[in-house]
This record gives sequence, structure tokens and C-alpha cells, in this order.
Amino acid sequence: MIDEVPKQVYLESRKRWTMACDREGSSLFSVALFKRFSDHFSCCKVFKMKGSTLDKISAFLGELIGTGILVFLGCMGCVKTDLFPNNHLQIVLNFGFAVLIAIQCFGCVSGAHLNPAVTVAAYIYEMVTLRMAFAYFAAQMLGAFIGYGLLMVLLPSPTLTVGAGLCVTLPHTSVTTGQALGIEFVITSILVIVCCGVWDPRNSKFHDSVGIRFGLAIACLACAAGPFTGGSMNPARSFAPALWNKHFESNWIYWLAPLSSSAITAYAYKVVFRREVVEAEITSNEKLRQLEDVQLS
Amino acid sequence: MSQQKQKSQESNPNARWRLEGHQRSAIACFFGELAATAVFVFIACMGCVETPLFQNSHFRSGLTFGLAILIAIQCFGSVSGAHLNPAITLAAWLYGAIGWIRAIAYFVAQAAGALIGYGLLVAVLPGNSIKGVDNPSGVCVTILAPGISVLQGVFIEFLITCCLVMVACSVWDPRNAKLQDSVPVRFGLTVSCLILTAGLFTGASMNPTRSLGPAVWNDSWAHHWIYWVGPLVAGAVTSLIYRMAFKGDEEIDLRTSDAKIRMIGEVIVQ
Repeated sequence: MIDEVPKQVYLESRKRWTMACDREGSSLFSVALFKRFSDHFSCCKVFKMKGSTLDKISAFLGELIGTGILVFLGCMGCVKTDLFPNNHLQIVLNFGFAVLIAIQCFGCVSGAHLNPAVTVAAYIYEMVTLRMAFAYFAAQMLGAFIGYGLLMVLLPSPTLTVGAGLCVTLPHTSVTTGQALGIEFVITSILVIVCCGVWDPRNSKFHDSVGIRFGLAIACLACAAGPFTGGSMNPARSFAPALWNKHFESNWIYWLAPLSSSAITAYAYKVVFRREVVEAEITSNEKLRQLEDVQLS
Repeated sequence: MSQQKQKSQESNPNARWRLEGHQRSAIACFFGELAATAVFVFIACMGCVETPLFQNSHFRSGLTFGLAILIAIQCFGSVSGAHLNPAITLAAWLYGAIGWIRAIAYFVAQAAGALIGYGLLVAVLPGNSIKGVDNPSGVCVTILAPGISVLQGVFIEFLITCCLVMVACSVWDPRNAKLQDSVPVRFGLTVSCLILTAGLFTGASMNPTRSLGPAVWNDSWAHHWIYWVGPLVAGAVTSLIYRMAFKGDEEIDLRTSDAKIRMIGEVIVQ
């Protein structure tokens, strides 16, 4: 088949197909080129798979480093001793800004979930495949572990041994287990609603300030729930300090509540609130017609 | 042509009384700017109240100011650009973003808005919250801190307003034409940062009308002139420098647009 096509035409068509591959967002462009050069599709398949594999690896690494950044900066901001004074507002704002930094760095690489609960929501919302969801989970656990490990190396030991351990999340003594579960469930539910709102097709053009929105949202949720349960919302973020300090008391609360909450909330949002964008298709058709008119005249 | 015009006028006698699009837009700009400044001054100055009965802190006041800016820009940014500030308006004129007639109208709207906003505050709060033993000058009146000389005050206002105007110029830069989504948040946090930085020394006004409102209502004019000289000079100097040294080229976008059109054209032709 290749031999039958003149060399110049073949090279030109291959170049154009490469351009089409680089512009995933241009569906009109891709479809048109695909129709014209379908005979040469197999030639580019190798390159496309390679790119796809590289994308998956970079997503894994992005998720790992992003979660590491979150845990490192977030937990560093929790230090509170006589030598290093601190207060609740400062801590929650710091966590919000840590999330902002991580999302700003890796939002376009992996979606910057940073949180197994968010990954569960993304899977149910059909944003990621099951295999990628497990890869994200592994990256998040490993990243959190490394992030907190860096703190263990870099901070003076008195700051690390406060209470049950620096940044270890525990319910307040006056809060019952049921109440703690309920609090974590509800605040994670709100976080997942924010995520689903961001992922909604109607918001696909408004991702400019997602980092800021998430940062401030998490600062608010942590500000509200922090005194009672630590405002974790994130199994990876709670597991790393517990693992390094060997302090697993009540840690199961920070697995059960966030994960179940994200599953239920994402499914409910998908069924009740999500809407596909119909207007965009009409607009595309109108634009196409206008262009044809211009060309013909 | 003229016959058609006459016909349309005859068939619609009320047409001549209906405002044309650009006239309506101009009026909306003026009142948008007035309402935006009033909203900003009201919320921000209410957040400055501090008495034994109503406790407050410098951090909270600074944050409230930034969030007040966020609200005003979110509400009226698409109506009038929500300058809220004669220094920003002056910078916009010198930058080439607006004409001088509109600039003067904005200035009048901002002064009126500030007076109305602070007037609302006087109307709704207890008298001793506005001016009393705890606030001899009046709440939210910008004054120099003890130990800060007049010249230092002018320079502080000048420099922090330079930072604010640089943010405004970068927002207006043609290269940022497509990235307007979070402008209210950016301005809000910028103002919070600048006030947290300089608020203890000069009140971090950065805005002549924001200082004018409280000054008029409380008859407190000590060193009031530095809040006009510093910000306005900063607005003029910074916008001119940015325009000459940093402003991006609009032609880049046009080229991109042409390329896209040509590309799509090729596809259709094929």
C-alpha cells in the first residue's frame, strides 16, 4: 500500500496527520483529516501509543509529586510549639494554599486529584479508567509517604513529637465516633460536589482559576471541621502521618467516610445535576455553515 | 436609503426616544462605577470597625478589604471595568484603555460612590462605632502612623499604588485578553496583600476617593493630600512605563486568528 503512493504525497499526508494528533481539541479538524488519510492510520498508531504511554507515566508522576507537595507544605504549616507559634486560621489557609500550589503545578498533567476520594469520584464520574484510578491511588499513597518523610528529615525533632505526632488527624475527645464519621462524610461530600462542578461539561471553558477555587474551598472546609476531626477529607493525607508515627487510632474513620461519601455524592451529581453541552454543537454547525458561505462567495 | 430611513421612523414613532446601544452602555458604565465604588467603600469600611464592643484585627480588616474589592469587581467588572479608583482610571487613560471623557465621568462616579457608600455606613452603624474615644479621627479614615514622616507616607502610598497599577496593566495587556476568568480574585488578593503590608503605616489607601469618603463625613483632613499625590502620580508613572516597556503586541493574536481561518479553510476546500 505504501509503495503505491508517491513519496511526496505520503510525506505530506504524514506531516498533516501528525499535526492532527497534536491538536486533540480540534475534533472537526481531526475528523476531516481522518477521513482523507484513513489509509495511513496504521503508520501513526505506533507514535500515538508511545505518546499515550508517556502521558500515563507523567500523570502518575504528577499525582505522586503533587500529593507529596500537599503533605509536605500542609503538614509543615501545622507545626505549633512555643518556639514556633501558630493558630487555626493560619493552618487552614496554609493547607488551602498548598492545594492551590499542587493544582497549579499538576492540574494540566494529571488533574491533580491529590486525594483517593477525589479519584473515586472521578472514576464514577467517568473521568478516569479503573486502571488509571488504581495507579492514581498508588501514586497518592506513595507521594504522601515521601512528603511526610521529607518533613521527618528536615524539621527539628521537638516539632514532630507534639501530641500523637505532627499533623496526625484524630477526632476531638468530646466528639463521638459517629459524629466524626458524619462530619468527615459531609465535608468530603461538599468537596466532591466542588469537583463535579468543575468537571461539568458546561464548565469546560472555565478552568482558569480552578486552583484558587479549590484552595479557598478546602481552606473553608478545614476551617469549619478542623477543630472537631482535623478536616482531613483525604485518606492519603491522614495515612502518611499515622504510618510514620505508628499511630493508627481512629485512622479507619478517615478511610471509610471520605471514600463512601465520594462514591455516593459523585453518583448522585452525575444522575441529578450533570448536563451535556448541546449549545456548542449548534454553534459549531452554524460556524461551519458561515465559513462555507464565505468560501463559496 | 433616505426613504427607508424615513419609513422606519414613521412606522415607529417611539424610536427616536429609545436610547441607542452605545449611549445606554455609557450611562451603565457611569452608574456601574458609582455603585461599585459605593459597595466597595461600604463593605470595606464596615470591616474596619474596631471598638471594645466589636473586636477586630489588622489581618481581618486587610482580608475584608480584599474581599470587598472582589465583590465589586465581580459585580461590575463586565459593566464598567470596575476601576473603583481614580489612580486606576488615570492609568487606564494613559495606557490607552479608555478615552479622557469617560475617565472624567469615572472620576465623578467614584467620588460620588465613595460618599454614598460611607454615608450608608454612617446611617446603619451606632454613632460611637463611627467616631468616638476609640476612633478620634473616624473609622476607616486613613492617617499616618506615629513615627512615619509625611515624605515617607507619600512614598509608601506611591510604591504600593505602583504595584496595584502594575497588576491592572497586566490585566489589560493584550496577551491576557483570553484570561479574564479570575480577575476579581486576583485583584482581591492583591489588595489584601498590599493592605496587610502597608496598612499599619499609612492606612494603605492607594485610592483618593476611598480616603475622601471617610474624610468628608468625619471632617478629618490631616495629611489628606498625600492620599491624592501618591496614588495619582503612581498611576501616571507606572502606566506609562508599563506601556512603553512591557505591553504585549496585539498583532500576535491576529496572526494566530488568520492561521486558524486559513487552516479551517483548507479543510473545507478539500
